[in-house]
Amino acid sequence: MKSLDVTRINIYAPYKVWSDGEIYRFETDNGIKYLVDFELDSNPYYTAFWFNLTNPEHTKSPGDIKIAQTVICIIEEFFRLNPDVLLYMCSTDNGQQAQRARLFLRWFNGYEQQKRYLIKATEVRGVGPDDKPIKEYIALIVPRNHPQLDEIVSRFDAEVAMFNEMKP
Amino acid sequence: MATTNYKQRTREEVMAWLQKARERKDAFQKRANEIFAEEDRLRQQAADSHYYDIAVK
Repeated sequence: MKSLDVTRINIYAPYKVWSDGEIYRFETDNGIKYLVDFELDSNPYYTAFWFNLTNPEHTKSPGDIKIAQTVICIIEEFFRLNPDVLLYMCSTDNGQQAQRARLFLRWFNGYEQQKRYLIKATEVRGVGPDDKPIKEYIALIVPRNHPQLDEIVSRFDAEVAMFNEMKP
Repeated sequence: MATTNYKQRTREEVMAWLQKARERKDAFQKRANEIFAEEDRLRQQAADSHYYDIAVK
């Protein structure tokens, strides 16, 4: 993956972003710190990266739109340099993955983003600690001009269906 | 549709893929916690060293 240009991100991002090796960081007006990174996915068919976002102190920041705007700037910079596929899996902390999935979609479903990216989010049945079934929420973001767009979306839909057809 | 080499993954392969994604996500969370713990430790070490007491004099 090509490293992101934080100077470019900071032209538009409301919160200042800096990089710490491969991790990108920012801090909100309320002192809440966020860490972001991208990890190469292991699927053998197309290049994709998992997008990771965490607030290790688990501090809530309702209504802070600047967090979403900063995250969008980071993702836009990712796609400018890496015209690949982005995958996002919600954290299952406190069992709030459904809420996180809705929030992420709201962040990324702005008019400008919808024009340029195809976004799909879905619930799948995963396996949690102690082999207990767990609901996972996964999002797929593909630039609309990606040459394998149709294949990637078909594959994602088929694989998600495969999960959800399984007996719990 | 560009389907060169298109091969459907098996259920087991997809399960393993999701499990690996979950493990990576948890590893990132753990790493983030370690980074924060180390930064807290360094902050505390700086405070305990009385460097600031000297610096303000």
